[in-house]
Amino acid sequence: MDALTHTLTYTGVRFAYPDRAGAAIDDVDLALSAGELVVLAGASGSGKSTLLRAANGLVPHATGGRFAGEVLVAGRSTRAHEPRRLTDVVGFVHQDPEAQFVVDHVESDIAFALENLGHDAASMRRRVEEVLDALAIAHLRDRDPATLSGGERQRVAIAGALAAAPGVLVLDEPTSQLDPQGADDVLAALARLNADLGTTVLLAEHRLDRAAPLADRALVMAAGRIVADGPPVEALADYDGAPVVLRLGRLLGWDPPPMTVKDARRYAVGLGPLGTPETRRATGAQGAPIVRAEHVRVQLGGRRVLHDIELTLHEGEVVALLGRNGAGKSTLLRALTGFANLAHGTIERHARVAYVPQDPNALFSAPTARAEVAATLRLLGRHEPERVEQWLNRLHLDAVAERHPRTLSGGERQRLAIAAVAVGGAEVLLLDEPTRGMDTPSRTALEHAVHEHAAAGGAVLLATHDVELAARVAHRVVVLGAGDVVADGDAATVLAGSLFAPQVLRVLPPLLTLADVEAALCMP
Amino acid sequence: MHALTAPEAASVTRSSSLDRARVALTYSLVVLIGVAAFGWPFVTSSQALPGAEHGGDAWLWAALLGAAVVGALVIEVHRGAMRGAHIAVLGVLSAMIGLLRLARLAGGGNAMWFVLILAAVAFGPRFGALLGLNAMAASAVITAGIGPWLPFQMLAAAALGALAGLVGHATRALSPRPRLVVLAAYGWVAAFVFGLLINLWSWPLIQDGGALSYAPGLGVATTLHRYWSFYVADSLAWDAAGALLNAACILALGAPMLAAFDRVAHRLAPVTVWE
Repeated sequence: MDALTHTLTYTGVRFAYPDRAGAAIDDVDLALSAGELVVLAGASGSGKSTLLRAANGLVPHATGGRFAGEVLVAGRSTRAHEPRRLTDVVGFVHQDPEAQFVVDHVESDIAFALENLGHDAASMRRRVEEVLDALAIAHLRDRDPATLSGGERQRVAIAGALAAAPGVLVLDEPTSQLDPQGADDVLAALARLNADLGTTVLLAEHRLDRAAPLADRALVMAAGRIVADGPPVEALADYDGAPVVLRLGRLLGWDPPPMTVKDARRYAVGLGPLGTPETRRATGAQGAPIVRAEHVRVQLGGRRVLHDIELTLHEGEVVALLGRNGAGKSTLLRALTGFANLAHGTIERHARVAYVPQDPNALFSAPTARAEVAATLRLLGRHEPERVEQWLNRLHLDAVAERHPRTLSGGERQRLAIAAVAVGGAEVLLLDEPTRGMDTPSRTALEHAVHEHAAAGGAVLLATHDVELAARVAHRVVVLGAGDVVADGDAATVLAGSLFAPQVLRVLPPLLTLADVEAALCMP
Repeated sequence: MHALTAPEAASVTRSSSLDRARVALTYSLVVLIGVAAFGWPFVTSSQALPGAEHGGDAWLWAALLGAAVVGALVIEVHRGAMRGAHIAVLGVLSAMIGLLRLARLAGGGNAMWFVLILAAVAFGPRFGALLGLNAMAASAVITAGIGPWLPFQMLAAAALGALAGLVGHATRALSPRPRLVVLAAYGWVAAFVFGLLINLWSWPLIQDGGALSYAPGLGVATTLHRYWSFYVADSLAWDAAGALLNAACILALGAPMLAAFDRVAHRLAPVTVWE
């Protein structure tokens, strides 16, 4: 293959951030062919973002540091070209849909990049129309980005990055902050761009269940190096964040392994019935009620957000709260904490309640992660350094304990917020979207912490879009719809047959998780 | 006439000697305007008397200053010394400082200065000068304090911002606590310097023939002596309160604020080593 067919190449790239020991990416050789859709996987801190930022020269131009090797995009080296000189050949979309708008008008925001490149009005008009259509967001053209949903915002951001017609589009976890519907919309738009316009797409993702089936090729990074590169089925075979169905196929020896639920079902038909193991979901064994909401109604700005909520949390229980955006999940958590005025109804609390909001940035005030956790105890008038260390350790934050909270990655910030709130020892933990932006090891650490907390007699209520998480950790699942509880029962019953069903349940009902499948296989 | 065509302009990404010369010229212009605006009472002869008010010439000074600020920003951005992020930080800090000017002490002084000083220490003298100019302009809009005194206030704030940046450079090797003490001392001094400079705009206007008043053609030494006496009588106590406020604020809030500014400054000025 020659340079003409490659739109993006890395040759012997090594990069170290200033004031950080060790290289963030090391010895990276990579060539992307025109028209490829490549998904990049790897744990937090494995170098995914650094690799992506090197594509348009943000690394090292915007960060500083030591850079060796060369990145060529459309024949231009990032050594000689700053990011602003590359916007016409490579588009970049960030993780945070809130952080990439300049103008409070969708159409103008998309035109902004073109204006800066000196396009004339006529060609700007044409380009803006084209990208509005390509992303199917023409109906949003006169809106203010701040009023859009996360998925819509991300599609507007992608349109902005595409306006200058770059051949390469680089996206850093564009769906990690989105609900499943928004994530689906964004990924579908990317697949369409790739198929119709031939745009080369390089996409970093934690949640591979949806992205991997769309990709031509997958890369896995670990400790700054690319450790696997090939078709997704092969490259992701040994990756612990691989799609659930792929891991299921591996567990059951299906070959070639399935990438979608549809593929997996075909194998499952030939499989005899598996036993249903005794799981941890012992619904009868509930402890005493610890928080009880009765007839709770909450109005916000004249709009009734919660109608008539009945909900009880018991000691030793993990409850997942599901529901689409705007269903009232966050409001319910705030009401249970005491942060929302009740228009009607009562909330009894028999223990201390602690709440971690969706956007943890607002919580941080200390100069280091360790100090942040210690600050909670200090405010409670306690000095227990061993408790601080215990929570840092429990949520795998030891390595970043001395870093400034705002320099942490999204998943790390989320875990830090949970540690800083939970360290106070409240019996009831209310977590709003706790796994946003988290990779598999972090999520596993969180799941362990949640279980330990419940096993010690506490209760956890987590609002989440992640049904796989709900299937793994929850004893009970509550579904909210337009401010009402529309389902409340043990996890297997509520999740079964709904659109919320986790992938394992859709392939091998009534089993919910890979752990259930493993247990079933071990049965005689 | 030297004009860069578009492709040529696009190829200029790093500072050229021409740009450096332009930067030096622009900042020199600001310094020159400042020296002329504040220094003229000391060197005028008895014949050359400006009108009894600054009302006419102040707007010219303000326009010149505005042009110099815009020119400096354009050149700094063009030569790559300032990025969009710098401008954003400059704008946000200017607005914040402008608002803080509303927080006044009864005895004199206000809360804007310590923020200006700490920001200039972290971001450097040139940024400090621009921040002083901008913050004063912003605060004038916020406090509706626009008048012939505005260009003098802008210049004085720019001088103090630039000086704070130099003090920041000079004290960089110190450990945090002693450095904070030096900065607090600078904040203390800065209140008097600002008072000394800013009284100069109005002092020559009051020519009542008294022992403390300005009269043209007295010579540098006598004029200086009269002005000092006027300052001590009229403004010293007021500025002393401001000086204490500055020093107290820097000592109390300097460490966390400087840490936050330094973190941003660090990110705004990346150093890349190509291997």
